[in-house]
Amino acid sequence: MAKPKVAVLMGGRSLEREVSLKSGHRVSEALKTKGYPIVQIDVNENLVDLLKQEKPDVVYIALHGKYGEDGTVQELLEILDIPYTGPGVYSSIIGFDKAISKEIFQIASIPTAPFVSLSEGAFKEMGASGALAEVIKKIGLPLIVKPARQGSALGIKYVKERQELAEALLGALSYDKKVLVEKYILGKEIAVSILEEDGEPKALPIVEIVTEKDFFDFEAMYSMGETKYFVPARLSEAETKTIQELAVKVHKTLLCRDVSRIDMILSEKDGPMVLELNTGPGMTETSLLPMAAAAAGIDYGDLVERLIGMALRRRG
Amino acid sequence: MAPEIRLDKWKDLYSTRAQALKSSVIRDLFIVASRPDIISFAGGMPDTRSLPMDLIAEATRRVLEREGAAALQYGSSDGHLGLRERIVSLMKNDGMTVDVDEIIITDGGQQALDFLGKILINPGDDIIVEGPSYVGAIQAFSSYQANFLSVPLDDDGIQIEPLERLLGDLKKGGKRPKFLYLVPAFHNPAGVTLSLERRKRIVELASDHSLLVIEDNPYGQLRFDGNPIATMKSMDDSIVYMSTFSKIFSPGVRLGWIAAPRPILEKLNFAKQAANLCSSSFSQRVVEEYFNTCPWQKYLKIQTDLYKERRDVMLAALEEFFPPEARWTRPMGGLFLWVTLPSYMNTSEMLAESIDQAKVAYVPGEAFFTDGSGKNSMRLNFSYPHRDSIREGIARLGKLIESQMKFYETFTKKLHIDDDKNR
Repeated sequence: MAKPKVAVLMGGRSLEREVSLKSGHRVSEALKTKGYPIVQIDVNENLVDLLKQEKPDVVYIALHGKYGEDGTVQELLEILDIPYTGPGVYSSIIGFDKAISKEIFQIASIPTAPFVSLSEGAFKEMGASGALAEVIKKIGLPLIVKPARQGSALGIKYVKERQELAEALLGALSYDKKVLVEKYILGKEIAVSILEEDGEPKALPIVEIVTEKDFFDFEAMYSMGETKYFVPARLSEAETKTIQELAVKVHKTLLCRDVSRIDMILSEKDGPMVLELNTGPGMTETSLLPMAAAAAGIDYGDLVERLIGMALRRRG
Repeated sequence: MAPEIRLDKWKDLYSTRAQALKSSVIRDLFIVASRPDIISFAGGMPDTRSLPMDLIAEATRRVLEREGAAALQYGSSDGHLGLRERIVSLMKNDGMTVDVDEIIITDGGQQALDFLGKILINPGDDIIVEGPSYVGAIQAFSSYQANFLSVPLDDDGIQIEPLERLLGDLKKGGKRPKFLYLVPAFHNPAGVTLSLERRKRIVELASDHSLLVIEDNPYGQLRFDGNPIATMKSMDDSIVYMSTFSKIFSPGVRLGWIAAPRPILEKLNFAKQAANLCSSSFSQRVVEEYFNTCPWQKYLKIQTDLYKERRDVMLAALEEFFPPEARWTRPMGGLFLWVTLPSYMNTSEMLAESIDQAKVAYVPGEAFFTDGSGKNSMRLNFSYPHRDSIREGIARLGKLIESQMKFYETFTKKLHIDDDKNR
């Protein structure tokens, strides 16, 4: 039987274009090796026409960042009635917005670092800069400032001294109109990938990330050699179980499906604290999801094929 | 014990030089900036679209018919004699008298910078550069682990007083800098030109302090206004002069040169042998033929007329669309101008929004400094984008800057008040 035709969406004009191209090429290679007919699409304003012309059976979304992970492309594919990999519209919208997901974490009693979110409008229209002293009082130092809707650690700032806050906010606001001010949690950086099996979310082995820097920034994330990983993470069995269960809970709470990656900090004092859920985890050489899958005995090609398979089962 | 995964298992093998080389966020942003819907003032490209392709094709054919075997063979490390003779005459036109064996051909100006770094810099050696300085030079000299000392520029080029002070301080400390690196004409990134008076003074200082001066002059021929100014090399033989065919003809042929005193040239020759034996024999002969038989000055004039027009469009647009707090240089030639915004602005941070929202790219000023300064400045290229794009791009950028400024202002004002309260 002929294998279904896969359109791999990649690139686009998000700030994470390069990472997305890397993910997309890697995914395409894997699918080719498995014998799938594929078409690679560097997403631009002709996407809909191209999809209508190519008529793929399924779309692999290798896009990162704005429009690719935030529900935009997912909504479009729903309209066109083409099955696609990964979580749906709702989870994508919520997962991409760290402020909204953290609000939901709090409601669902999922541990997450104390935070406030501020929009550009709050500063421009309502004089929010007058409230910076209160922000510091509420969150405490050191703290982290990050754009609410931006992946790949772009625009994330570490603030040690109170006078650094304004610049950090301005920097983060260049990436998104809404930013998050979050308490800095000292601890182990861990990432838990969820891969569904027969519709049941299963946590893959936990990846522990060790950097020489204060926190995991964009540069360390994409330059090889800066960062070390331990898979599975150096944790006790009990810790591993608690954390994996927590990750599954996050995945379910945001109504995710197929796959997701939950990033956490394991604080010695407070236990695991959830940073965010990624609905479009990276698939590059150095990405965490393929690394975790490999530790579970699932090689890259099989991982991609499973994601495609889950999407295809949703077809009418 | 859990298995440790290192993404780069060769990490421990890298030289300390290589470990210092890193990717940057800015580089990743530029990958987005290469999309056609983005107006880019970030490049540094001459407009090769206006070159006489037919004449170049004919010149290439003549080279192959006349001396094809030699053109397709290895050549000497110094470079093809005919091309060096042509360079001697080019330099003569600019008032410099050099001998043909005082010249070495390199693969563009960038290889010249790499070689000068290689033969002169030990890790930790002091070198003096302009602030801002050419980013390619910073890269080349950084890879040899130089210690950068920078001297600020103004509209007349490098400032003499701080330079004298620095040289005095170094002397007192018993230190001798390896060289002073200057781009005297239509500076990249600043667009300014070193005045005659200052050139003379630098030549004196060089002699007083036994200071080696590297005069990098890729843009000297791209003058639209005013009269040419004598090069420092024309005043003093011991200056190391370098230039390139990239801006007067084509960067694609990858040819530049260094004119240096013979002992330095000998070391450069060894560097050339080790690096790539010789520059392309084929390229060198084609360029020689083009410069010997084609009206290259006519085509250079077509290009510079184009740049002049585009510079005028950019200056007018800046006047119209940029806020009054912004300042910019008014280059009399070259490819770039330099914009300075109020000190609280950060153009590196603004770049994400500029590319994503305004769809305009520029190079943040920080890239041209080695000490983290320049955060409130940017380099704009006017030679490559078409005139309509220039106007549109500057309008969008101006709008973004204005909105960011308003935003920054409320912030900084408020914060100062807070700080005062806390004292």
